[in-house]
Amino acid sequence: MSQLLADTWALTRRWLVHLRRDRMSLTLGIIQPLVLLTLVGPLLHHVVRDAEGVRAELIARFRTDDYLTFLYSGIAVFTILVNSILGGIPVIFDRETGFLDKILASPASRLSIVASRFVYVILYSLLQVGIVTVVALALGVRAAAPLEAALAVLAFGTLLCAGISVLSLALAFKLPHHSIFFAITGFLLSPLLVLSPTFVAREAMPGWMQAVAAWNPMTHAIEPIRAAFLGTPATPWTSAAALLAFDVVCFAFAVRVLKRNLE
Amino acid sequence: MSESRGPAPADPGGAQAPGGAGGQPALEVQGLVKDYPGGVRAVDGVSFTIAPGEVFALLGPNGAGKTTTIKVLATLVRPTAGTVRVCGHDAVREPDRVRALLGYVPQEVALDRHMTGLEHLELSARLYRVPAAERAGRIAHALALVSLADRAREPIKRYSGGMKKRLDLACGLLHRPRLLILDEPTVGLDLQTRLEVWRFVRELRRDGAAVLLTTHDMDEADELADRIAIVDHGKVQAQGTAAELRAGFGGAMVKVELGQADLDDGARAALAGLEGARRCELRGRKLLLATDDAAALAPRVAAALAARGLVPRAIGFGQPSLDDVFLEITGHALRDEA
Ligand SMILES: Nc1ncnc2c1ncn2[C@@H]1O[C@H](COP(=O)(O)OP(=O)(O)OP(=O)(O)O)[C@@H](O)[C@H]1O
Ligand SMILES: [Mg+2]
Repeated sequence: MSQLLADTWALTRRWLVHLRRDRMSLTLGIIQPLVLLTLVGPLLHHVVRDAEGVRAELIARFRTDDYLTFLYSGIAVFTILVNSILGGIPVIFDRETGFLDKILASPASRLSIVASRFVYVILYSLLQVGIVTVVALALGVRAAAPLEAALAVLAFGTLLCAGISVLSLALAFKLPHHSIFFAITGFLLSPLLVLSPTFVAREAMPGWMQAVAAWNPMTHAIEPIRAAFLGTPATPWTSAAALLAFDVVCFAFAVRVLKRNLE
Repeated sequence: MSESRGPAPADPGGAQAPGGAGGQPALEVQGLVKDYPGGVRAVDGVSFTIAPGEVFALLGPNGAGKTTTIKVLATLVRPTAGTVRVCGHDAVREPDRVRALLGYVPQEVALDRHMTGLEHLELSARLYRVPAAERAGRIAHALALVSLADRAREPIKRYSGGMKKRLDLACGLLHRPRLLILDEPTVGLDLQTRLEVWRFVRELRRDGAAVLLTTHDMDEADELADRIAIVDHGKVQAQGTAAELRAGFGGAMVKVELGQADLDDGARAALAGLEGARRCELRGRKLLLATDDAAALAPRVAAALAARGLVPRAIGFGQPSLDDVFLEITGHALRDEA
């Protein structure tokens, strides 16, 4: 056990070196969601205010016409999604350069190879979304219950990140080449975004889309976070259960793939 | 826990360190077979043994199966059949034991471009469980060994190809492996760096580590290895010391440098039929004749050529090179193979 921790730490230090040398990725990863928020926010805010029906619905359902705060929760979760879905990339490059073989030839615990990246991606995502949140609050996003809101971001962010990043890692070990990895993840990102309540509440979607969105893990992270920020009623335990179930499926798949591909 | 298994092989002054309990071999490979999906038999029944403190070379052309053999030893590839034992531990059944005993330097330099040399060594030292108290000292020693001490704090983005290769080598020996595996350690290096790597391999051997290296370079095998296995088409075609391999070839040879690149069949037949000539081979402008008594054959060759009006540029005789041995054994020159 202590050996596993030591190996995991040795490999995590490497990701921390990357973080230090490659500040650009973190900076862009923070700016991008803020750009989305500051551009899409006012745009849709404008549309929503003017479309009386939508505004009435917003007020009725969320007791707010604060679209910026509404949108923030979606963007925060999308930030986590992007990070975790791309979390396997360094592994796939390590496979291609042979660096992974060097690690695999060492007595380092196989689990630590996956665990170091997994833990790092979660911590990195939370750091990033934390900074995004602080800036978003400065930009006018309001948190009705600040403590609850912070907890919601942490808890549901972690739950979503865990499942997606372990899936990403499994794919990184399984797919033959990085271009296929990029093709698949790039293909998944936009439907996941659109078929989630990021821009529009689930209830305001067409019926078929609501049905699909119910299966989108993003939905179950956005809704409780959104409720905490807007101070509206929510069903956080149901959302947590849904995400947990998703995580279990992802882990089961990942364990199968990793067992076959690691030793 | 790291050094509980016998004395440290790098014990200074220890000369030939013991290879573990009962003087067992550092490496024992028996009947190794590896089939890749798609029906490629990359390794086809390879067997060899390496004693502690011995340098062993796998010599063979591209695609011979050297890297595949090494990947099986390094526990990266599962063998289709056969066994691999490192200091008595089975590579398939006790992979972790084996990994701790091995150092592995891959054919292609594998480094992380975001990290410095020092950070690479740190990582290797930790992954190979070098005790924290010894890390700094071993890293400094390894850096000195590959002459990178003054560049260690630079990101490897700024290293030349040779520096990267040397760093990769250093990463492989921090934990003082019982068996260091070097897959083509000198490919792409200039003469100076190549000589440094050779010096480095000799130093390791002096410290008591066994070394397995692959190469397509005859001189390298000749220069460095205590024993050599010639591998082709996944099989060991011959093995022994360089002297044994030469002896198996049959003593000596006569080498003629011709003024032209071609010989007609008649001339060739006449030469091959000379008394004492066992085999006649034309390579470019070079004519090679295998024999037991080169001094006696050389004048006969000169006379036979003169009788056909051919004037050779030079005639010499002497020991066959490993190139010649390789040609004899495999039926093709080392560099011809794609
Ligand atoms: N992953 C793989 N899948 C399928 N075939 C492979 C794979 N790796 C190697 N081979 C094949 O196995 C054979 C042996 O390759 P190997 O890399 O072991 O040769 P080598 O002796 O190291 O050659 P080189 O001197 O070029 O490095 C080749 O025919 C090669 O094409
Ligand atoms: Mg090779």
